[in-house]
Amino acid sequence: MTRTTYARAIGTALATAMRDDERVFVLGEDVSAGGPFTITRGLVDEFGKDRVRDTPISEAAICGIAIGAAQSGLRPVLEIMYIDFLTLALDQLANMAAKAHFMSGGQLSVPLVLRTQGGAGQRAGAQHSQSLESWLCHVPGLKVVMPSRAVDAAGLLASAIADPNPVVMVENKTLYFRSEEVPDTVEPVPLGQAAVLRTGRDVTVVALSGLVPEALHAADALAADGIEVTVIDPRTLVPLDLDTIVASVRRTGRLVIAHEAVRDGGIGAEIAAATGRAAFDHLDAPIERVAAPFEPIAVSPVAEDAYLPRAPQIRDAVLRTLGRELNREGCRLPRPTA
Amino acid sequence: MPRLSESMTEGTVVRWLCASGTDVVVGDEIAEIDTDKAVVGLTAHAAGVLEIVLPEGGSAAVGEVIARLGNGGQGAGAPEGGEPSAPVPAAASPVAPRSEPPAPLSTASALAPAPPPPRHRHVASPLARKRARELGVDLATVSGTGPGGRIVRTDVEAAGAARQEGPHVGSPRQVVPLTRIQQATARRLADAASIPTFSLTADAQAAALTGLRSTLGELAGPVPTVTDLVVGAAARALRDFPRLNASAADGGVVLHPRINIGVAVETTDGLIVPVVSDADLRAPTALASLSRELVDRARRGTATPEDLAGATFTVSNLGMFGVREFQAVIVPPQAAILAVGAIRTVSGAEGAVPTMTLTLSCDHRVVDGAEAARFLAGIVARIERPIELLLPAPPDPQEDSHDPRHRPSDHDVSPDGANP
Repeated sequence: MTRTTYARAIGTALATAMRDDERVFVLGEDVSAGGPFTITRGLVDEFGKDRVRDTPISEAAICGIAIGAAQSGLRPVLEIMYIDFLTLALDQLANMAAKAHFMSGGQLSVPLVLRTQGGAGQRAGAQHSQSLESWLCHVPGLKVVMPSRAVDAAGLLASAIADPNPVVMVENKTLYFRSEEVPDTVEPVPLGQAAVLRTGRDVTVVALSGLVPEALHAADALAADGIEVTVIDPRTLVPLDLDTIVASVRRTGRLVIAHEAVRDGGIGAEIAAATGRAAFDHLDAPIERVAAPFEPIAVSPVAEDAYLPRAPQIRDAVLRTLGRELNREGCRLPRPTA
Repeated sequence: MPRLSESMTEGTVVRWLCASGTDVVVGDEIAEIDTDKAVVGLTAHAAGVLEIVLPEGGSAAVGEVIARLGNGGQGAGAPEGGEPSAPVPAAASPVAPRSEPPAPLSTASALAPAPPPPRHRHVASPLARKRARELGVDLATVSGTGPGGRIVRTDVEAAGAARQEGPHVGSPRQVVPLTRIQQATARRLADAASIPTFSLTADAQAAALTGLRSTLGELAGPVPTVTDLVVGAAARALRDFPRLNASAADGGVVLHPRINIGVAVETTDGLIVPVVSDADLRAPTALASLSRELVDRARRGTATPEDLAGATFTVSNLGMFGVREFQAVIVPPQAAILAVGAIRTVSGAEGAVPTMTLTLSCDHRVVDGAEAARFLAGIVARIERPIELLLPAPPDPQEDSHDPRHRPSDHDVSPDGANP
């Protein structure tokens, strides 16, 4: 095992892919300098400016170049610095990259990987903190991965680069610099395969990205009161590994879905609807969603902290599925009877 | 859902004989309905294109819409889209905005339709419902501990476990659903529990009865059964004792002008009581052929409502099972029921004598013990001298005509206690 960070694991995976396949190259704003989060730092020294290309500040151009390169046989990995800026590239991404294979009758493919990052908690304000992954999940032709752990980020990036279709990898700025253990050799993680990070009989929690560590914290706290929680990280949102979620809900009878994006129209609604249909007869309580309120994110630390769903909200949702009275302080919870 | 028998409150569509979209004319038989007593054919009372609302196997309260007869193209066969086909009770004011709303298909239009019974749905999670099905737990018996009293899995499993710990340890209880006939019987007999009842028992020598039966069998069919002959004897005796052919009514007694004897018949679906009408006027062979038809139809489940309606007295014979004597339960609103035991040989001074034991149970509000005893003696006398059953019925003491239609009208209420 090696101690590393989510950020370093992605950089390492990029270097490995570039070493293994000379068609792979990186482009984006300031990528030769490493970008704002140092992900691509050092790549230019090994692979040169041709394969680590700085671009003008134009997300549409970055994405368009990547699409052309991908259709011409290269394997571009482009970086959109903040998912908030994806708006500027959406025409290229949603109308070109996602549609080319379909509209050309299979003659074209667009094997690009778009890396970007979202998430709040760094006082970055309404335009640098959003979680917009559900927009991408709504476009047929795009695959969307959203790992929460360094090992998955590296493994999914390898699979995404190998995939012949456009894949968007949504990273999370609050996860980048946590110290994590990863195996010395990172195996590719197949797209569309969830990870069960903790197993418990009482409630299934499906958490995304930055809320996965929060869900694990909540599970620890609940375990102290005898409530056993299963925590699932879908890792890939499109295609979604519904089977793993449904199999767990069939055992626990209760589902909590936690994501940092606003609740309204979030991917949690899709997971809830699909699971509700597939596991209807196994549900012992309404499906709970933990998500942000339908509001822009404030810069104010107090307002942002109040806005963000975190472990206490996940714990409360778990207790609601169990029909427990909530203790406002959350310090002593009633013992489970089951 | 038309009311096809007096006591019918709900019916089940056994089979649709026409598909949706069929053009039916008045008189077409379109469905078979299982009432509480029999499977009855339903004929169309209006012409039009059939639109089935209640699928085969479905049950509905009397008055609910089970199908529509429309003029085609206006919704018949088009259940989706357009206006919702609300479950309007039959004959309720049609609210459909169409110019020609399809006529609700029901013969009950003249009757006030009973409102559909309120559906009580227990608040339970889907998982709790599934576990309740698996464990055979009735949700009505479970109290919910979830939010708002919702029944959750643990509640059902606790109820299931509590039941397992009960007296049925080892073998899971099997709940056998009642057939419609059994449900009707259960309801009616529960009503009977409130009747003040007394019973009288007497023996009758049966040699003459069995002798008559053998002789008739040698002459011509159909051979009357012992039950047929007892029915005949009871019917003739009832002519002399109108208080036994009666019903308790508010502050009085209803004397019935006709003597119609219900004969309890066991069928695979439960107890059913076809009615031998005017049993006092029929000769034994006529009784035999009528009762044979009635019993056949009852056992095939094709008894008509007429077969089952209008009994004024009932005979129940368990002699064929070797039962010596038993008390039968009065079928309300009748005043009495006769229970017939097996014919057995009794050794006495006269040697071995075939004997049957008769038990008469009476509604004490209608008849007292002495009169009941005299009536029972009248039956015994006729069983012991059954040749009387072959004679034409004696003239009705109150009427010149033998025609039962000319008998005194029903609802001839005499003041309680007065001798009619």
